[in-house]
Amino acid sequence: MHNISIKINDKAYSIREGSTILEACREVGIEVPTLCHHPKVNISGNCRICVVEIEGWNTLATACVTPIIPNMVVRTHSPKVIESRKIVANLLLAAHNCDCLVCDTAGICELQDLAYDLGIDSRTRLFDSFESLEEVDDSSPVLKYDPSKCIMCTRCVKACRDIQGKGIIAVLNRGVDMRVGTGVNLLDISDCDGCGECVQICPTGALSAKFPMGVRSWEVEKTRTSCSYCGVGCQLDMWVHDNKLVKVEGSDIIPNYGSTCVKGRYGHTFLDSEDRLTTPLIKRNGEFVEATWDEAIALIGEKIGKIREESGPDSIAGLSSARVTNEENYLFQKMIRAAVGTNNVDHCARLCHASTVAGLAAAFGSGAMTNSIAELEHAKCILVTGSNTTETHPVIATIIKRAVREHGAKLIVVDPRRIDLVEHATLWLRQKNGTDVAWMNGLMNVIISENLQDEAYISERTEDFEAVSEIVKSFTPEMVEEITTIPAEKIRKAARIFATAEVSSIVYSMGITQHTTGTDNVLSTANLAMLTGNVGKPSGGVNPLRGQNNVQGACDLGALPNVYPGYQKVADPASQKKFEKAWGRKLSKDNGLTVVEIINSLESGDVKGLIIMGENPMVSDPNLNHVEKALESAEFLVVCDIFMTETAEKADVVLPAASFAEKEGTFTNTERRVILLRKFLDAPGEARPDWKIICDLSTSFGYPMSYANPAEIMNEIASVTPIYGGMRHSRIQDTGLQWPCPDESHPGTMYLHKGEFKRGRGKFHPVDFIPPAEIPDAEYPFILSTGRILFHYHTGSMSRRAPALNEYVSGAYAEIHPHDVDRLGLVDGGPVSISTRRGQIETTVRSTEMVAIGSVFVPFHFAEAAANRLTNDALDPKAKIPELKVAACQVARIQ
Amino acid sequence: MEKKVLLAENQPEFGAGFELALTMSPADVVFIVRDSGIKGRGGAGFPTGIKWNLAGAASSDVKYVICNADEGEPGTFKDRVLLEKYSERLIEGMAIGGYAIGSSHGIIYLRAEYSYLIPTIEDARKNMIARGLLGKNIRGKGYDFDVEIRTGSGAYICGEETALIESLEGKSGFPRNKPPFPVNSGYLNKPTIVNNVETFCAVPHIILGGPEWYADLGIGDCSGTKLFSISGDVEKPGVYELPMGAPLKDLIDLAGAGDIQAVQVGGASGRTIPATETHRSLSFDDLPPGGSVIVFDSTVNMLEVLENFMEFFVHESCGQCVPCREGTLQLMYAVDDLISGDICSEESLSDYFRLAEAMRITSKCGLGQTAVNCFVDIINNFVDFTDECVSGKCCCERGDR
Amino acid sequence: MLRNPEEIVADGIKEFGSEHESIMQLLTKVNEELSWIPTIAIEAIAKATGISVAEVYSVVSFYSFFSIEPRGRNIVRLCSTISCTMTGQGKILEALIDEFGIEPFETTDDGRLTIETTPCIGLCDQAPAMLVNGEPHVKLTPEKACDIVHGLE
Repeated sequence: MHNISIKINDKAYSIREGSTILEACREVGIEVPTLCHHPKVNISGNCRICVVEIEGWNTLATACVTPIIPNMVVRTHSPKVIESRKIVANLLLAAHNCDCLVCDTAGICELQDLAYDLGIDSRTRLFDSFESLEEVDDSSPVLKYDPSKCIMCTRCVKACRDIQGKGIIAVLNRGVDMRVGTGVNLLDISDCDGCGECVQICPTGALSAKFPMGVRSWEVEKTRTSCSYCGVGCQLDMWVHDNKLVKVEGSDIIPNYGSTCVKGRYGHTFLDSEDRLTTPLIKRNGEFVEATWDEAIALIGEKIGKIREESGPDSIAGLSSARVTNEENYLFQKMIRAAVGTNNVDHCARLCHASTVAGLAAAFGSGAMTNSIAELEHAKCILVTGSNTTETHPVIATIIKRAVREHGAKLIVVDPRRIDLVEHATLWLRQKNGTDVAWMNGLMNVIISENLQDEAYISERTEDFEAVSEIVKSFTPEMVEEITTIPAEKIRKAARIFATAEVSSIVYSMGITQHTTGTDNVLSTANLAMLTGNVGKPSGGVNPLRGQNNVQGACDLGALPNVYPGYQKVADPASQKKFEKAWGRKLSKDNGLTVVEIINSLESGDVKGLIIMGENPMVSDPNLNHVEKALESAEFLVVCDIFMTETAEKADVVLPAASFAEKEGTFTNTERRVILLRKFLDAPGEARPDWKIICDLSTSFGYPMSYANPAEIMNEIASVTPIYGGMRHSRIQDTGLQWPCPDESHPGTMYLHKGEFKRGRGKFHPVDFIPPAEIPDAEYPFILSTGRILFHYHTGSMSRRAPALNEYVSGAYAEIHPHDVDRLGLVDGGPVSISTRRGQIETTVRSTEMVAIGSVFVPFHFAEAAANRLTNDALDPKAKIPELKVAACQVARIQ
Repeated sequence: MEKKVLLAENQPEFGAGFELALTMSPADVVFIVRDSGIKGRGGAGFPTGIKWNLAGAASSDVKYVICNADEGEPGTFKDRVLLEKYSERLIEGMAIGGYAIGSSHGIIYLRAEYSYLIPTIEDARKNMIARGLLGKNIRGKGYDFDVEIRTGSGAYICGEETALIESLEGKSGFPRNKPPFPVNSGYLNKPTIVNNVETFCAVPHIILGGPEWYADLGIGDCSGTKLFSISGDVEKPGVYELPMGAPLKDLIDLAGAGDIQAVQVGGASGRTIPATETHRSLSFDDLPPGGSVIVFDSTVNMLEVLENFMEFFVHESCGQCVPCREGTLQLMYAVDDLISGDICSEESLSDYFRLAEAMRITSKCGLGQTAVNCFVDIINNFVDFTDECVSGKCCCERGDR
Repeated sequence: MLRNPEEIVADGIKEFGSEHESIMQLLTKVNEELSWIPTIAIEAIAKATGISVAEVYSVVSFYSFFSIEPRGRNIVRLCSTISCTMTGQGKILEALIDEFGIEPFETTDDGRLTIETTPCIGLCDQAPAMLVNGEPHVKLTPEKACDIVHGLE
């Protein structure tokens, strides 16, 4: 594209061909007002505010739409233009409910700004409004739509359809009756999940948060920080007034570019919940009594010290947290390793992606997402399996949908449930739960037998291909159909699409990892990706979506029993030496215990003292009846949290922590991006950031720790963690940095294994199919699976304190196929009992074809009907991850 | 005087023009149409030959020929008459268009109000197929062409060609931003020509008679003949074919009218003139020759006529652009106020004249740009503010006097 | 016997396909057969074409001939544009209202009749005119119009 000459306002410019007049004007610094135009959505050209005069034209031209042509003479502020803009603005104002005195949008309203710029006051207003005010639609739990403030710019409609891939709202009616709505006018009866993309893009107060901010827009202070819910790591602008969060907006920056989900935007009301922990509590005679920090810390120092003295350091364990910062995870494992002297440190990643870490490290040399979130948009084929992305990683789901909708990617979904992405998929393979190795071997069988594999890649970049090629021979589509119930023809189709696409990406999550064959499943994804040459290139790869905001970071920083920070092995004497030197203490050479092993050892008495920071195993861990007994048998239990969780109830000492809002530090999101957390609220009462608490605890254990701030901790992390070698708080103020980032001049790494795998050659691992540990039988005939839903998060300690989220879903339920509902005499919305060999819950029936006949799905967020009372704690032998996704259960009516 | 070509008693056989065109190169067909000087008979007056040339030059394996049979302009019914009697001619014209631009797909977008004509058009299509003039490998020339009929569903705006295309694509009829133009990116984003029923019907005659013959049919610089629908206060309402450029008076004389207060030419979006101006010509340079002429005698209250039209535009504005959506409403309110007497002076209308001008130059499509014509013309030509209140019942100072 | 809307849609998809551009034809088919477009038809069309329900609604609500309210099995559309109003449309409308007891855009209780007014239907040369179930009736008088409507099933 070359430049062409045009004249704007009597001055000559040379502008890139293909630019619109608006782009040209903005490029040279000439302000042209707009209303319907927004860079994130397609141009509508509807408001006619950006009109300009072009010499030789009878009518005015819309600057946002009209491309420049050579020698065009443009006037952006001629009398004719200004007159027209004033008339059009007056028309809008005549139809607008100018309730600026009480409108939350006042001060940030684009119509208000336009009226101001054009100098339209009530004396010069031209036309009267003849419309009576229409009713506000406030049927959504989080949004409201006030048609009297709507200027019909249609940005919201496009945002919902094109950015979010939902199309829940559309333009209704014609002419002056035009409105935005779902079809029958109400926002709540459709599938609106309250992401608020429409609210954020609305130029006026037509679409707004349901509840007013209670403060004018110019009175707030905005702070950008990272979302504390899932692993996407959305950047949020927090609007704060008087130490109260009044509004959340998505920041227009990587990775979410303004988008959020309903939790990110409307789910942070837990922060000023009245039941936040505000003071240390010590349990005396079965009752918690308030204590000072000094008392609490002294007591912990004494008790833990005594256990260590009597039973040795390995009788103590710590559960770190995927919720807290990198700095805190680093300090926590340092405290357990250096101050206590054991490697008994783990966290809930054990329950989600331990198999990923084990499997991908074995295959590639690194156990994280190989590629980045944004790259997904340009993949030509995306295979999503075991991830209900729309609910668990909502913003990533929007990118997958855009890849399909805007860029023609083929989407293959392999999932036992009819998840939302199925509606966008080219192909849906519905496998029987726990048969993932079989279908992946089946895909590879087809690819190899049809000679679709990437030979050059296999020979240049990988090893041990033959072993895999041998083992998949028997996995013919027909044989796979028998195991998985996926029709053979679909296996063939999927294999061809995946293998022949220019670049294919695998996206998976807990549906792959939470199995006794979790590591095998992960190895299979790696095999499939290497077979087709898709690792080490943009938009390809194997992409495990990490669940929690900082589960990646907690793993990276060594909150695992077998590795130090940066996955440096405990078993490697050189690493041990390195850390002994850095931390000035003799370290244990033995791998520590994993989460489920720690729980088991509490019961057996091998572990007596346990320190839990920000985790809630009383809801999140498998086989809760067992967990409960174990925690009760602990000699001394310390829990550090922001709320009195089900786990904290069992503690001897509870320490009040500051939330993500009240401290600084970093998270590492699912794409290995280290992102900044900024403080925007003061912590309630005496609550303290975990990093300060750890310093005090460590000091009380005889290993003094003291840091000025988290930035200083990050400097220490960088000095001992090669993949974080270049991380500094000062470097990640804007977009963050993706590891590996070995030194301060390194720009970070968008995708891994470019040119060479971390481990040298990618290693194929032959994997045979092994059925799940527990399969349905006559006594327990149903397959039970558990997971997350959009509106709640993990054990619900945050999301269930957000009234808006509770309005969407307030309690537990079990998804059961209508056929089974009828057969068992159940009623949709009625009670049901679900039991397994480990326990029983009573919950509510949700009759839905989401699940297959013979299957039950129960979200695990709800302590009162905790799915994990049912789940199986059988472990994957390699990664020690429990089989949360498959259990055999009974479903019964409650009389 | 009438000059009947499209409506002539003795007409060339259906298909003769198409058969002749098939002996020429597509480019030559385009040149003939271009040289005939024919401009779009729907009213916008874009030169048909230029449109076809651009679509012919656009490279695409799939292109579309669309007939705009969404005749919705109030007072216009000439296309209905053509469809009733000359559907074969229309399909023949479309086939020639398809051959010229390299398209095998023709679509007739018929307004829902004319659904009763579907059997007639379908019969014409079958006749053409029976005679080997539609289908695969027509006359052994390796050229395929067929047409399908689709209907609108009651939306005047779909007469705008890009709104029509949106409607065909299964969407609301919101006019598109231009560029791109349909000749490059039209139906399903493929190169597309959209022409009026009358335009397609004229094309076979042009091919048979030659471009010079056709051009000479018109008066002065105008080319060809034109169909006009005339109704209102006339003795013989109906469709008449006149040379393009003929004086309005000739048409009125044919239909027979004595007492003339006003004539509206070109429908609700056209111009409204007093009897003293009937000498003016029906041409793209003067009175819009879209096809509608309505005569009003001296008993008609022109403000009521204006009210009827403004209600029409409020009802039919698609609503996507602000000046049209809100502007038509405000103009309608102004007319209501004139009728009720709440507005009774020219000064108090000045803001509405400013509005009309802004609508004309800022609206997204022709609807909003021309919806102001009747307002401006009727108020300027037929409302007398000099003597007393127009309403005669207002309570303003002048009224009280 | 009226057919089930989903059945009509399924039939329409066989005839017109399930592409986005089939939507108008599908809606027209339902609208003609049932006189209106029930929600389940909209949902069925949305599902078949992969377009969201709201977007299909959007199309339905744009076009005057489509209705999301039940209408009578006979629909009278009386032209309300100038050539017809000049020739007595007002009297005809009054007569119809008196005779059948419904205002424009209302439906008789027995579900037999809906009367609508509509912009120009292109029959100005034979004004006043109306469409009855799509068929034109011209040069109307109040008596003639009422007779025609009485004659409907």
